[in-house]
Amino acid sequence: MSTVRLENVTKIFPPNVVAVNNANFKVEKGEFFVLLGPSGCGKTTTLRMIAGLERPTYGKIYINEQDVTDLPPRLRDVAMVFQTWALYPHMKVYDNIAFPLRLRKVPRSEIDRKVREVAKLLRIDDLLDRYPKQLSGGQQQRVALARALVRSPRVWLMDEPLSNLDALLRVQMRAELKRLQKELKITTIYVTHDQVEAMSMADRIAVMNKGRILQIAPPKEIYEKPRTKFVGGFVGTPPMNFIPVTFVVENDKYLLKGEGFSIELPKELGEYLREKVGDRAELDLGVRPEHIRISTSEEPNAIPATVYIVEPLGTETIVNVKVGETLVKIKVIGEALFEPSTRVWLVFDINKIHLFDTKTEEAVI
Amino acid sequence: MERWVNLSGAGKSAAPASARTAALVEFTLPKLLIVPALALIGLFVVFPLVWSVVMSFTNYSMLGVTARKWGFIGLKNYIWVLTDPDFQAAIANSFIFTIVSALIGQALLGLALAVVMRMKGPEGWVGAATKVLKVIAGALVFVAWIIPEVVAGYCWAAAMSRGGLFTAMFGINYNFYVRHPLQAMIIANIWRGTAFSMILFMAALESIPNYIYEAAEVDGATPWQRFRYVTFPLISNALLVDFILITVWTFGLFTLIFTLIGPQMDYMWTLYVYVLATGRMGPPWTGPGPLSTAAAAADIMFVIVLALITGYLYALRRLRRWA
Ligand SMILES: Nc1ncnc2c1ncn2[C@@H]1O[C@H](COP(=O)(O)OP(=O)(O)O)[C@@H](O)[C@H]1O
Ligand SMILES: [Mg+2]
Repeated sequence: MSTVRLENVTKIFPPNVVAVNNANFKVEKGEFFVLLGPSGCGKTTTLRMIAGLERPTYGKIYINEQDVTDLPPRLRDVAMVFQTWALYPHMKVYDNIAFPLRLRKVPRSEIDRKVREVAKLLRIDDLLDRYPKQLSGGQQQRVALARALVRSPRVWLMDEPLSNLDALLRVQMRAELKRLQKELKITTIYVTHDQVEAMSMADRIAVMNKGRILQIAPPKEIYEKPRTKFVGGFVGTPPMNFIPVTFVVENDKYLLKGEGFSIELPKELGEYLREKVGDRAELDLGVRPEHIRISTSEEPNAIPATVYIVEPLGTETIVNVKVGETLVKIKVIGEALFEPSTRVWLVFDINKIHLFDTKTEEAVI
Repeated sequence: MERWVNLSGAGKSAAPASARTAALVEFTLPKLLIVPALALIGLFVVFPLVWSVVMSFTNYSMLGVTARKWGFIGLKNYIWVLTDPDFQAAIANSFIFTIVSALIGQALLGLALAVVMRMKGPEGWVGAATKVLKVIAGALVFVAWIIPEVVAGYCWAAAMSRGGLFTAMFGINYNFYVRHPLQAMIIANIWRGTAFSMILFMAALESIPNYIYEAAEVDGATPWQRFRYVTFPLISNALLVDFILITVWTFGLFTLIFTLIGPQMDYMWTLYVYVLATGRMGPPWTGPGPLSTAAAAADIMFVIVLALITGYLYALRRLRRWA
């Protein structure tokens, strides 16, 4: 069980690509830590620096509070699943998985037992006699995963290890991986751009964008209290809706005014907001699709909207409506039958709305 | 058939004909195009080989009575060659020469140079300087290879003469190539042939993606283990090609030997030189220019080279396996 700590880590690729910008975090013993962010945000680079394959331009990396910044990968005792799999083309699947154990002079019988065990877990036990090029993408990816899981290093580093599996297998492997990690308590840093994967597996998530870490928190907190508009919009399916509004104080009333509507805020919330942003401010109202109710008749504090299109998904239905020019998605449990162009009213769960400063994109409540 | 019909898009009656034409172009034409090449290979490779084997059992010669009236004489030529002390010396020389100058010298040095060439240097001015040095070293090695053999041979002879480069550098005040002809040949051949192996290995190394090394590094492999278990198996095919080619070339080397140690050739014969020499002076049962005896020597050399190549194939296949 080990800890991993990054201290002011910055990576600049020549000439001036800032891939990782001042990352600071500490992964605790046995934690399942997920780096979540869109493609190109610097997740792989962060992981490669922890593995020792890239040297940080600035900053330090610690494993178990030992400075490993200048330590070559093989002395760091970490295992990594590469985004590109990086299988040895000249070795059969069995030998690929056994390779790290053989380098460590593990007895032959133990190697055999471990290789077969992990292969069975990942359901590639019938492929052990094949070469990588005889496998599908999803199979190769599981071999890459097996090569990391077969040993118990100080840290597991996984770079989108399930991205190439088909949907069903991915869900199954997700569970297997999490169970194994909890069982062996090996500190894990897991990279993904899939927020469902992050939410379902992580003890804590670090959301990244453009090389910066925006928020580090447990999944529930990331979901409920996004600290920036980006985090709010990145986590959740369908993503959070954003509607531009203006916060104004009129006749002792606290109002959010948008295109063709006006919502009155509870006094307490309004006063809090006034303290933070003043008497008037441009904000983005963020509300998740599951926190909106559709009403067919006018109600107080409801926003008029026009049905755009309905997407039935089986157990739930996504209703797309237009508020002025803004498209808003609403998640409705079960079936919802609306004709396009029907006039409806949206009622927000006022305790679950988010407000972001339009300029800084930071959450104000 | 169906596919061609659809592809051609022509009318129903025209379709089968165009399909036949397409099949002819696709499958039959390439075979026909090989025929001239095969004929040439047959004429200049297969025929001489077969003829040399047939000839080696006769008393055929270039001149004299046996040039016109020749007959089969059994294994006499082979026995004469195999019991000739000069031939035995030539075999020993050839083996030492090939192993030391080609396999150890050219291939090993070429591989080492190729690995060094591909290494990433440190950052900053040291790295920049290293890069320049690499380019210069690469160019020098390459120049040695494109210089004509005659020029290379005479240059080395000059360098190894008394008062030449060897005297200036090592204080050797005698004709090095006269007193140590084998060593002289080895030095010259390594110098000349390393470039070929280096370039071959550089190309092979280039084709190994970098991420495989990264995986091996994270998996815990030391630099030597990375070479042994990743680099080596992945370039073993190039290694095999290299070994075969340089063995054949070194066994068949003449110009460099002739120009470097020309006068000492009689006691520094390699197999190939022996074959050439035997073609001029042979056993009593054949006339002047005893081609049949030379053919017997050539066939023995052919078998030896073939055995070596088979040995390489076998050894490399074993080394490529795990553990
Ligand atoms: N070796 C490199 N040289 C230059 N730029 C790089 C290199 N590796 C990554 N980058 C850049 O750094 C940024 C982050 O890349 P990466 O860490 O791979 O993102 P992610 O894994 O989140 O998709 C990208 O803009 C990418 O183009
Ligand atoms: Mg990546």
